[in-house]
Amino acid sequence: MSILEFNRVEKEYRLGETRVRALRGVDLSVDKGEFIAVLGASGSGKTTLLNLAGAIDDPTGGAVLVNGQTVANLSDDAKAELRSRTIGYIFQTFNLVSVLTALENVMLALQIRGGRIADIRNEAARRLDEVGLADFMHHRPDKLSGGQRQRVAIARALVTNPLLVLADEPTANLDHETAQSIIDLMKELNEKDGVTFLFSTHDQRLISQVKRVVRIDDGKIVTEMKTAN
Amino acid sequence: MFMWLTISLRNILKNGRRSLMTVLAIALGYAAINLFQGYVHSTYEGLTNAAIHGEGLGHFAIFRKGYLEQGKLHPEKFQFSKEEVDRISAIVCAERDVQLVTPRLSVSGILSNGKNSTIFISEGLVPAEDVEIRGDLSKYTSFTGSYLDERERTGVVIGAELAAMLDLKVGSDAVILSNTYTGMANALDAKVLGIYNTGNTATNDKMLLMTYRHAQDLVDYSGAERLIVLLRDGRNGKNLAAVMERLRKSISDAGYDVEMKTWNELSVFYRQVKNLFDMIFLFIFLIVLVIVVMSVVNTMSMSVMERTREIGTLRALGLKRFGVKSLFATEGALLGILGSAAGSIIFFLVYAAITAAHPTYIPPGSSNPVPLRVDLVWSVLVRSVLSMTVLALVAAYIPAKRSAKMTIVDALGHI
Repeated sequence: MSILEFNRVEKEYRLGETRVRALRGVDLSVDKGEFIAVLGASGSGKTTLLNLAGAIDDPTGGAVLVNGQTVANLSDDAKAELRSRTIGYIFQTFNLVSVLTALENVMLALQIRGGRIADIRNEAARRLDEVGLADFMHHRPDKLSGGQRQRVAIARALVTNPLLVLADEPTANLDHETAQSIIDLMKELNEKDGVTFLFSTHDQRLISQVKRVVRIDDGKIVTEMKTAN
Repeated sequence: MFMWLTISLRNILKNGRRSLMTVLAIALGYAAINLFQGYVHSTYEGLTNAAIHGEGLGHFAIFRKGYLEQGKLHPEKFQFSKEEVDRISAIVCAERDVQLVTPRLSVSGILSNGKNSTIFISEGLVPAEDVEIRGDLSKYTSFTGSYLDERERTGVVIGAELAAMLDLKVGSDAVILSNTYTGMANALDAKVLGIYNTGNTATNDKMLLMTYRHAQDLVDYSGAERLIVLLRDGRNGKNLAAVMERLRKSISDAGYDVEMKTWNELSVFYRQVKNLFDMIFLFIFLIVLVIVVMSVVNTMSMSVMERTREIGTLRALGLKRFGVKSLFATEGALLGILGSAAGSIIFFLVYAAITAAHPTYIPPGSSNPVPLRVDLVWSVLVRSVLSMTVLALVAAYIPAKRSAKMTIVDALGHI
């Protein structure tokens, strides 16, 4: 069963007097365990697609279904609940809370959902250990390198055991070596734990490791192909 | 909850200078409100004592029904007879909470030293019972001579200014002149037993105290204008109301039509001062409220603006709108608590300085300097902490509400 479905999805923005059609009748289906890259030029609609998939934006036409639920039909609180339980987000600029340590940043995702603090702390520590940051748990983001910050963001996205992890250009702000280590980590999590990843990228190294590539241009999916991975 | 407190506290510390300004604004507001409240409390205490004991109003007074409206015009119709005074006093004395009941008779007229004369206002009272209500006037530093005595039937005690106007000294003889209730002029001898400063410029040149019997002789009437009641615990408002209600019923059951007035209903001066201070307090509180609210709104608005992307991130992670509002409201409340804590330090420093320095001042209408006191009223201090915290919380809620309304996409795209 698909964990994410786009049915004839349209998205229009209004920029002043101008109407921008960011997505034009997009159909897409993502199954559990997939590792999909969305490619496209700047302004092609990649980020809009991820925003709709992450239930942080609503389509102006068509339907987005996450785990069988039509997102647009949900209340604001229900969407928040859906995001908290089903989706993990990795941002291009990491978006860590600057006043919290790495451990606290990861705990945050679980605390939003609720639970026993001791369990939350243990799970967050385990995830940080998994991404190789066991020794940096009590460092604040400004004391971490770009790669380390993105690892914290990955741990935060994974700590809730989401059905789907969305990543918007996860390696765009990283140097070559760090980007490679992040790609390896995401790939490993996908293969070992079956975590489903949908991400936008320009990074050729990342594209070479995905199972499916979706190319988007001017708000439309122009090609969609499976790779040998 | 702990995480939201952590985030709030660390953000306050992160923006140290900005937070300090807000905390200082709240602290100064807190200290100003509490110092003024402490001063007002001390003043109310003084005025309450002055009204109940100093003015001799007791905790409440019993009048014949209609006296307060028409008693001054037709005193003979609206005063208690001797028999009524005795019977009503007996009913009142039977109430277990009553410490004392005593009759009073107000008279006014002219006081003369034989050459010159001037007007006086007077209270006819029972000296021993008045001492119990008022305390011994000889305890006043500006008192000379001795107090009224039943054995000195013509003895009077007069205000210092009145004594000076007529050049009367302790032991001087004088004449008091007034109309009887039947309209006849009546003059009686008076011997000055004591001279005291009433503490009030409006009465210091007119006040004359005489015995109840002496006043009755002057107006040729054997009854009383009112009965003054002193309770064992009359400062407790609930107790006062309950006693008055029980007595109202007992006196009515005995067939007397009376009305009762509490000391604060009778003391015009107390009510005027209280109204004035309440108005000043409201004015100060409104100024503090505006400063605190503006300060917190400004700080939190800047914080919300700087952390818009963080808000978007938290919302993307699944935090509900209410969670965002709670996060910033918590930060506002923390600013309120920190401000109140700093304000408490300022308050106690000023309080200690005032307590050590014993400053005095002469208030309007007073003829004596009075000490400037600030009372330590714990309930007010605690209530102020709660007020400041809630105020800061509400002020923070305004920008927080705005931020929570923002779409997640816009918040994440904020630069």
